[in-house]
Amino acid sequence: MELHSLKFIVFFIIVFVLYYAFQKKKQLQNIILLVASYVFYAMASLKIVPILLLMTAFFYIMGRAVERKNVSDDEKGASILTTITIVVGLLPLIYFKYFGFFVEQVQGLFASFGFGVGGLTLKILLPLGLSFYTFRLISYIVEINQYGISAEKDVIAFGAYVAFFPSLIAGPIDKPNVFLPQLQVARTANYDNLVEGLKRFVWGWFMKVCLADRIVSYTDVVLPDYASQNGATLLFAILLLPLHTYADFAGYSHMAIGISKMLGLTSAENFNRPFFAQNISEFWKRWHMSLTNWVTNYVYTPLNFTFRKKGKYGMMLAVMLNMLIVGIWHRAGWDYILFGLYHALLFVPLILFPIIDKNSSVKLLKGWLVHPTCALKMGIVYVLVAISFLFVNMMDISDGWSVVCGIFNHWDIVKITSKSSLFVALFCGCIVFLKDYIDEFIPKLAVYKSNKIIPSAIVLSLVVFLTLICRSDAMVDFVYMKF
Amino acid sequence: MKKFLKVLLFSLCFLVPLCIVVEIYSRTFENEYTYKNKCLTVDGKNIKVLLLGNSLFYNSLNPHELGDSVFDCAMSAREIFWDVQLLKRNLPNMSNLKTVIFPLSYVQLYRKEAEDPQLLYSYETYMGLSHENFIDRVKGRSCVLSKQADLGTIISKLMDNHYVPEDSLGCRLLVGKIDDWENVQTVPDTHEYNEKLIQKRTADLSRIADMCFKNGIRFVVVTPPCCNSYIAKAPVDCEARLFEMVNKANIHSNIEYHNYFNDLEFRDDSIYYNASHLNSAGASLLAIRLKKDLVL
Repeated sequence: MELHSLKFIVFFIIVFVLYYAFQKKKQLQNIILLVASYVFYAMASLKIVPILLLMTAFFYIMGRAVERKNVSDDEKGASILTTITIVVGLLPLIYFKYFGFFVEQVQGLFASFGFGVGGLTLKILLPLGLSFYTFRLISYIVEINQYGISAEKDVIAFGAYVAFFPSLIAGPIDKPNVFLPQLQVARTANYDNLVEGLKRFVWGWFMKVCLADRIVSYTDVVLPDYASQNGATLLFAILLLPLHTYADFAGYSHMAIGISKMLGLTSAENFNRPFFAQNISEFWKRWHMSLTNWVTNYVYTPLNFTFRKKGKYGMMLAVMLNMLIVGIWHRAGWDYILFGLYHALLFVPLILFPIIDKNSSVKLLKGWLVHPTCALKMGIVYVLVAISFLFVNMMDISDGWSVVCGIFNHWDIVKITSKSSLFVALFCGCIVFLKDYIDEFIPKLAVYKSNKIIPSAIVLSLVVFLTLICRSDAMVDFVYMKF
Repeated sequence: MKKFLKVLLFSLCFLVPLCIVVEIYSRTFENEYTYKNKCLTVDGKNIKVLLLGNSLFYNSLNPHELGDSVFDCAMSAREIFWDVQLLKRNLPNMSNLKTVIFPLSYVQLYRKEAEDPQLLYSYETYMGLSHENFIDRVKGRSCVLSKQADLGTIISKLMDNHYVPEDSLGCRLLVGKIDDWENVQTVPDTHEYNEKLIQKRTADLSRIADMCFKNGIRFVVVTPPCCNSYIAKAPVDCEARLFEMVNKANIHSNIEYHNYFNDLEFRDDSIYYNASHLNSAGASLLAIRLKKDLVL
């Protein structure tokens, strides 16, 4: 059930009405959330529900056990239990996401030495949202062990946190110390939350169906058929890739955060206008922020501490491992391993010359126009990101390279397939850019943020109207659902 | 909550008039449907040979090779039901109509055409037809919900409301060869014969035959050719099933059936756009062959 489907909207209205029918009863509200989340998940496939259920039960029990060790000052015991929990908790992810890739590599290795190991091919389907809720659960156990948060005693609230339906299948990855306390109080219908939530939901819907789904109809035609495209067409398609991923994933995040807000809960932010970043470090602080925060807290910071004696080289090593995890978190494959390494490489100048990172504040001309130097830096970051997206989009690295080489082939006029669709996408892209630009640089002009009745109604009706007349014909799945 | 409901109410107050404006405007659009409708209603008297059906004639038969006074009324993914409606309504205007040609393919033995709300909207709004059994009736009645009103279309119509057809005879031929595309379909879909659908389509075919019989019009059913790999994978009895279908519909013994499914003249794969659709070269070849066989 996609968040932008009519089926989901009907589902949400039912949940919403039931949820606020019990405004002062937090336990009933949590039960409604839990049941709704499992129904939502089961509608994708009943087979994947037991994994979620078992993982939740396991981490709940282990969380309590780690807390008991903490209370009895048994630090070593708590650390051992935490490690066991993380290792066991990662097993489903390793099996469903990485085992097939690992078997393939071992087979390839044997074959390269002339040992045939049979044609064993594993087609293991990744359960929806597994990567997201596994990371959520790991952060829960680490927070109990390292930062001393209390283990959740209420199994209903804990289950609702893990399976919370808006962010179950594609994030954001909510931190337990922020999200769980919200489930400890009854949520009442708050006007500001409802209006803001609805606006975010509608905006996310617009980004997904008017921008992402239209761009993909162009890139999906041009890139697989790269051999017969001219340079300009290929360049155009490559430059659209980050915009597509942004519109798709940020669109989903806006919808998920909007739904949470309407339910009186605050989910973690996932995007902060990433294309205004002036270097790669800033880009990752603005892109898929909940994942970046997760790896920064639980991977980069401990690694950086471990390698601290090695100075800048230690930092580089920590960044490399960090970005490698970000890469393979997406999918097991050489393309994503290279994606991680490539991004790690882009961090090197920032580590060697920290001054670059410090000079990242944007200068504005006449109070609203971005200084050309800053714009150039933003453009460079965008192109560097686009190249990495191309390689993971093409699946095959050699194909990606052929596309890059293809850019320098004959430069005729851009051959545009599905022309009118693309023009509508560009029009919607301009609206998204304009909104992001105002939010970033001229916040006083952000009149659409007003929660007053009439301005809100105008904004909502305009966005819904634009969505209705600009939406793509195709119903395309969210990109991050497959991760 | 009351305040929030007010926002929703006011939003609807702004949204509904906007949608109504688009709805009214979109109904004035000129497009391929309105063009074909105009050709059948206003210029119907000049048509002697009428091509009905789906993409097999819309894309894969060149009406220019069939002689004068031919009009291709076929459209992609059209169910026979719409052909019956079109003919029923327009026959009184088409006093010079001599021949009706209809394509019947193996696909029609199993595949149900998509009941896209856009189709219902287009046939109802632009051609003035109606379909009582359409599934998505609500969406199909609104241009906004049926996605008929697209910003690109609205802007292009605002700039130039005059519709120029790609081909004055109503066809849209396909350029390219089967070898040009990587993932082009070269074999039939996996399927089982849909007996209910066959029965319904046979009934509709017999309705066309009946109308032609009563108006003294020659009715020709043609099974167009398919590429070699498609034929190799299609069930061996498919031609017999098509023949049986025509036979059942032939209540007045007035259906002239021509089967080119595996015809030797169409064995070269370079004349195919995909497995079951001829490209522009193939479309001309089929038209020349038809003209010869039907003595048009």
